[in-house]
Amino acid sequence: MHPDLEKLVFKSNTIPSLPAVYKKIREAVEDPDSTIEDIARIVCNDQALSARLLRLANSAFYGYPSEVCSITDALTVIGLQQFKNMALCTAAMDVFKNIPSTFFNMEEFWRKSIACGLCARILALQLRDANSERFFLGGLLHRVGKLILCKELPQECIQIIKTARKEETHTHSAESELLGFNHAEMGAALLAHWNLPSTLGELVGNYLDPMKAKSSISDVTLIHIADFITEGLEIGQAGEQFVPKFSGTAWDHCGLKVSDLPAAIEELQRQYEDVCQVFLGHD
Amino acid sequence: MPLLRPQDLETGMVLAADVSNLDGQILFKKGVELKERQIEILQMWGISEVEIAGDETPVQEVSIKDIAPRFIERAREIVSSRFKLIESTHPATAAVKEISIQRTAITLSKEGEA
Repeated sequence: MHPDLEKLVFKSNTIPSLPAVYKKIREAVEDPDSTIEDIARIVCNDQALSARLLRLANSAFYGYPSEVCSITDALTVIGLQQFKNMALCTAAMDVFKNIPSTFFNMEEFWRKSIACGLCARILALQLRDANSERFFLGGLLHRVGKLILCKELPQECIQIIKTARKEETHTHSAESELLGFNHAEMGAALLAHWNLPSTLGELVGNYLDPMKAKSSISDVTLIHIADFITEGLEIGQAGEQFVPKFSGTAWDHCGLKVSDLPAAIEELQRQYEDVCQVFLGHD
Repeated sequence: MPLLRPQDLETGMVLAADVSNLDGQILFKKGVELKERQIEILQMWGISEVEIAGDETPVQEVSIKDIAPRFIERAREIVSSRFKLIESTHPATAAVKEISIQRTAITLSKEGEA
């Protein structure tokens, strides 16, 4: 890890921590003795989380055939591990709620992230990968390092945006040039700081160059491709003027066919607004 | 065989191919005649489209062929500038770019007509 990055994330006291309710949920889900009722009780104490959970269980993301009305039913539909992931998504969004939108529109940033997560999950389902929710989480958080950069290094961020425009390059190239590290590495460091699984850190830290990942290369390639597709189609906006580089090696590695793309994009389009509503809609 | 979205299906239509959900589980087999209940199930499962027996497409989607060339030209310019740094000539990049141009052209033409 770059020494400046390490100092910024691990030796600073301004890095936000995850909300307490997420920690409670994580502990409860990982505790083999806890029951769905125990977890439901934690959720019920948080009104915004309860509302989101019910909206998610009833959304096109799950496509469940009948209406899910109670928290316990919603937990059953979604599954506890997946619920833990979903709680992490909303927790991360809450942490960065109050970043000033000088750099980019926060809603558009999360819309782009949701699109990338959905797209990665849909591609994983096309490849018949089980537990596809981890791809949603990886996509949702893949640019979270950008938010920490804006929060911790606002002056440098202005410089990065100016440089990227002037030199007509990607923002991550300008970041590396000016800081010595980029937002993907920053994101992975943040997730490590939050004690989240290292596999998630691999997804986020290597999405720009998946063949450099030390493990789960196949998983990382899907985040890379989903980011390329959603930037290429300009779904949401994360402050990028140019579509990111595309690794043909990564594509060939993951086993997708070009003929899979139209169906994946159509499915993305079908779920997108509904899932944006789950995470960004007003409670 | 026409492909239809569940909301465009009508009772009495016959499936021309098996319908599976995203997990690959078969919901209905080829040859099933659709009743309201089956159409509801297809909608609930979020199936994007199914193949129906017959040879005409009753519902016309907005097609790129119906878009005026000036919108396609403009869309190609906009999308190409965003793809400026793409060096890869991989077929997947070309496919995403083409889909992006089509989507942009449809949006431009809707805005242009409004």
